[in-house]
Amino acid sequence: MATREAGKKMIMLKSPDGMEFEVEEAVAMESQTIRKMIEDDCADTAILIPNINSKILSRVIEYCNKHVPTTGATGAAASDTVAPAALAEDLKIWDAEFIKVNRATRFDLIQAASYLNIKGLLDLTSQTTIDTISDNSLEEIRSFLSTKNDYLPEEEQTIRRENQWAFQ
Amino acid sequence: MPQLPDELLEEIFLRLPPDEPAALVRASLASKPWLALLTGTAFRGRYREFHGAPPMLGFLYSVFDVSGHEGDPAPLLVSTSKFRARIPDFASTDQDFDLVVWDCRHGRVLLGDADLSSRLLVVWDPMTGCTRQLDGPDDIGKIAVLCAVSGCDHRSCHAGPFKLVCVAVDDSVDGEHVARVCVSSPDMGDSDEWKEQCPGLDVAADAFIYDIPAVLLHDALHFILGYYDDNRVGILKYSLASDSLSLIDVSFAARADILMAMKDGSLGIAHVDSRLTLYVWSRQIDSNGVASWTHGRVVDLKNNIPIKNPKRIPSLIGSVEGSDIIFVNTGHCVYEIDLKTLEWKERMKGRNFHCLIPYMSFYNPPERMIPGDASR
Repeated sequence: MATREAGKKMIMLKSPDGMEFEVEEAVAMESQTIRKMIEDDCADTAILIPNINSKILSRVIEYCNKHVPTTGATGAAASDTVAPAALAEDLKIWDAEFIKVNRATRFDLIQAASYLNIKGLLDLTSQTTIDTISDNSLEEIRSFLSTKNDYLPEEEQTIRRENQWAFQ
Repeated sequence: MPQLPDELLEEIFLRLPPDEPAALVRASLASKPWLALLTGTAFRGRYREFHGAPPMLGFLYSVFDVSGHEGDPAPLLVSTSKFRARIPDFASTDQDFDLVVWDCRHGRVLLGDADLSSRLLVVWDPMTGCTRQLDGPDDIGKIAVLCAVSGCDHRSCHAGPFKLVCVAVDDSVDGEHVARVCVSSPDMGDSDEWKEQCPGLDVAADAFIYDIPAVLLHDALHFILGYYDDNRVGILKYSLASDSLSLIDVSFAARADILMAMKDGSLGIAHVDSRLTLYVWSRQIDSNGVASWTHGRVVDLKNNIPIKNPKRIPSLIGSVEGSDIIFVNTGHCVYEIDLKTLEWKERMKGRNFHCLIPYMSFYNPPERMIPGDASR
């Protein structure tokens, strides 16, 4: 349900495993999916977030809390006191720490960011993933994509010969 | 091992850096379904949309001392990535044809004969290796190559129809010096004929067009005009949209090494003085359409790039259209400098460079990445 706490409108988010998270409306609206629900007046009661367990949802909320513009979690108008460049630098360092998670968690975060439509989080998680695989060999990429090599040996030979530059 | 649905894997692959296309090529060769997906038009379209302007995959250059290049079978496209251009058999073109690079834009390279002994021109697509030969106009001035399709975003048009625009100063009639434009667009249903465009524009008797590539900005090509008598400079503008020639006054500038089509959409003019200071002016157009030059950046090159011989004035030998990136030749190296951030990269060693022309393109897999694969 939507309540008010210290002048801020609060929203209740519920994970499928039954956990409830009370967050500021502004924080929840970092998610375009939730923003749309709120704007369409579908957010009077707790919003059930399907497919995202409480562990991941709490991390997503942590991310949104940090990234909500102007008033951060401290409540201070951060941008008034800190130079934007310094603030961006601070966020970058924070993001780098935030994304130091195992692959399974990162994949869960990607799915959550995609479902909840949080562009910054999708960028961060996807970019981190691509950075780790861009130097990978064909075999490693196959394993990442869980795709089976369905080329005939001679086809594979031709591919490698024709696109040799990409394999050097 | 945890897995992601295909649409999220696609989302991730969107973020592969376009200036190093090897990883995307490797990924697309993982299996046939992934080849179909990552080389398909839908993903390619999203990829280009996501990244906006095409990246620099390499550059071409011309040198002052052409004789040093005699015998070269092909002009070089120096890769700044793993990408390798498809080089056709230039040697079979013509024995006496000494190919040099004149221009490069929208994924096409324009090559001409170094000493103008032949009028033959070659337009080359380094992505596919396709070339097209055509005769130049009678009076070969400065020729620019560009995409011929109006409204194109130029993100993947390299194999489409192109046009060549030639601007020359005609002094064939005594006492008259007239800048003239002619255009050839051989793929647009016309023949290879060069067609004279708008009426010529009278220019001073001592005017000449700089031997550097034109700069395309807002559907207009810009050339630097020099004047033999007093070292002044000016800008000759050919608007493709309105088919008209005009002069832009830059009398405030003692010199001009290059023009730039800057990131903010303004025309830039830049030069380096004897104190190794780089000056950039940009031409801002206000809301009433009135243009004025503003003094933009001043960069002390000594403090920003390695300079071995401070007595030699570095020359500006090229720029990237739609960005604030320029190429500076210090005499022993060519550096790429971003004028906004002042970040620089060494691009090439050597000293004789006259022009450096970036090759900007998304990597587009050739039609048949797998020869003999009929399923595509």
